[in-house]
Amino acid sequence: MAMTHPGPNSKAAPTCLVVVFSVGNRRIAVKAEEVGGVWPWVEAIPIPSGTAHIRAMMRRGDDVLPVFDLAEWLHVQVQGAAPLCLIAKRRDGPMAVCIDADIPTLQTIDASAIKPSPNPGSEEAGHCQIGSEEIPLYSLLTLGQVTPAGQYPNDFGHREGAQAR
Amino acid sequence: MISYTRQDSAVGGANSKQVLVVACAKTYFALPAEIIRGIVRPEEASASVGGPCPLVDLGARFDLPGVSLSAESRVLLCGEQEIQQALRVDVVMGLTDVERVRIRPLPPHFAGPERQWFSGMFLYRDSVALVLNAGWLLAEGGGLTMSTAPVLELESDPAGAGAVKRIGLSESSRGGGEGNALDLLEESADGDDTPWAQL
Repeated sequence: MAMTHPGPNSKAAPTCLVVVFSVGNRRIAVKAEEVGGVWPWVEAIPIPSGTAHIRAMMRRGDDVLPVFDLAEWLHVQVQGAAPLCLIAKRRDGPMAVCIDADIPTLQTIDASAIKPSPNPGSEEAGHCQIGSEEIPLYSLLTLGQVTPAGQYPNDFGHREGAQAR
Repeated sequence: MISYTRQDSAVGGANSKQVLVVACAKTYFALPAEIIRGIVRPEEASASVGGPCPLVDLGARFDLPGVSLSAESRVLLCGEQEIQQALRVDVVMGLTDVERVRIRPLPPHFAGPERQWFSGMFLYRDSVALVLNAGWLLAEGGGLTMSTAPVLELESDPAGAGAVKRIGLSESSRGGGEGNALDLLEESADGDDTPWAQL
């Protein structure tokens, strides 16, 4: 994973370490502390399931991880011949997420560069400014989970029509 | 009378659960052995049931990708006392004793009806096997599928019932069985009260 260091003139302002990756060429940032690793993607095991976007598992040694279909959730398709597997540290346990073949980058950004989401509790924690690019910052802790009200947290309307079976 | 028993009987007893592992597409399922009344070829299924019985494609029941009938396809005759259901599967992998400590619950991420369908899972070869909840499987019946899985009603064929040849698990052929104590079966002359294991 490539890492971008702050410049020599950076101040000791609060910083945040984020991982930037892409799914269906859509760039997404997540806090590095919520990422358990990045592996090569291996074939997932189809699992009959009525849980939205979780219909497979991935086995790695004796570990078995549920697979969250982030691409389906975002209504995109994973790009690249050799996709990668990002481990999301969701609150109820780690999940595997298939992401584009582009190598994720690790970025240190000023905490002030993060604009919080107007919807507290949303998976989208906000946006972060990286260079000239504004990238949505997602929370992997609650990825794909519905709110107590039974609604998906705000995600810019990517999943219109998507609902739990 | 010929019966089929496992070669490796080192594992067993109260600390283990005997299951029949089958494959549908790329997914393995484990059915409690006590509900298996017979294993037959698809063309023999109708002759092997004593009355009308729904034939359900197990993979289609779970919306798994369809696999066309092949020489490895089998029909499992399931029930507690009588045959209540006939399930078509792509491959019968074999019979195994699974230590109960090896059976783990589904990850909590799976929060839907699958928690009712499966009582757990265990590592199997390079994959996992899902332990089907026998109570749910038999209670739901062939008509109460999760989707529109095709259900074919089998008709009894009393005249031919006696001629049905039950298939021994040793005919399982997928994967070669390396490193796997599941499908090491042999013919045995001694009695075995597992009904489906008898010819």
